[in-house]
Amino acid sequence: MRSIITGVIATLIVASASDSRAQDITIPVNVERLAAKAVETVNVTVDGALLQLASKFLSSNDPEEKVAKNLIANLKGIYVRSFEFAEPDQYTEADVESLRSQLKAPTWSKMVSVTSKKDGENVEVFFKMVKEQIAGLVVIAAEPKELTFVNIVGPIDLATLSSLGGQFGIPKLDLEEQKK
Amino acid sequence: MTELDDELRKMMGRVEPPGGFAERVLRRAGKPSATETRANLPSTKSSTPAFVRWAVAAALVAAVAGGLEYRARRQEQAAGEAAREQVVQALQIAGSKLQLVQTKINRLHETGRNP
Repeated sequence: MRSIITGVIATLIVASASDSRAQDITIPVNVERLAAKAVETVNVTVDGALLQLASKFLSSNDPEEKVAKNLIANLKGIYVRSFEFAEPDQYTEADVESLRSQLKAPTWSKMVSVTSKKDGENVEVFFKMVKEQIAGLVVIAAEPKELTFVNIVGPIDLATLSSLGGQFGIPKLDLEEQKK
Repeated sequence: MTELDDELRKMMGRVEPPGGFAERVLRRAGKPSATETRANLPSTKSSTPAFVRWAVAAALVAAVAGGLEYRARRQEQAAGEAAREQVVQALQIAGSKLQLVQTKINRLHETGRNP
C-alpha cells in the first residue's frame, strides 16, 4: 500500500515538475517544426523526478551504467532534439541562430567550435558557469543532413564525463587542456 | 313475491360483525404478529461461522490491495525503463557529437604537427 502512495506522490511530483522545467534553452517553434521535414527525429526530455527514476533503473553492477548513473546523479535535466533529413539544406542558418542566440555571455561561454567546410559540419560546445563551476552544457551540431541540439542542465563532472570515453559512444575528453 | 322479497332482504341485509373484529383487523394490518413475520421472511442466519466470513472479506481486500500495488509497481517499472533508455540515448547522442569535436581537433593537431 505504501508503494501506491509513493507512486501517487511521484506522479504528482512529475506533474508539478513538468510545469517548471529546468531547461536553459527554449526550443524555438521553427526548430520544432523541422520534425515535419525530418526522416528521423529524436526528442529526449528527462528532468526532475523522471531523471531520478532513470537513475534508479541504471544498474550499479554494469560498469557503463554505473558511470552514467554517477554522471546524472546531480543533473537537473537532459534535453535532446535531433533531426535527420533525407536531403541536405532542410534547415537554415536562422534555425541554428535561434538556438545559438540564447547562449549569451557572461552566463554562457563557447568552449569549442569546429567548422569543417569540407564536410559541411559545424559543431559548437557551450558551457554555463555558475560560481566558477560548470552548471550546464549545450552542444549544437549542424551537419548537412542532420541538426542536433543537446542541453544538459546541472553540475557536470568533467572527470566522470571523460571516464565515459568509449562507453555509450561518449568520448574521452580532455576539455581542460583544450581550454588552454 | 312478498316471501321472496322478504327472503332477499334478509340475505342481503346488514349483519353486524362479531365483537372485536375491527380491532383485530387493524392490529394485523399495522403490526403483523411475531409468528407471521418469522414464517414469511427468509432466515438471515448463515451456517458459515462469523470468523470465516471475516477471513474471506479480509482476503478479498488483501487481494485487491495486492493487485493495485502490483499494477503500480509495473507502471513504475515501465516508466523507469523508458526514462533509463532516454537517458542512455541522450548520452549516446551527446557523446557522439563530442566525439566528432574531438576527432576534428585531433586531426587539426596532427596536421599542425605534420604539415
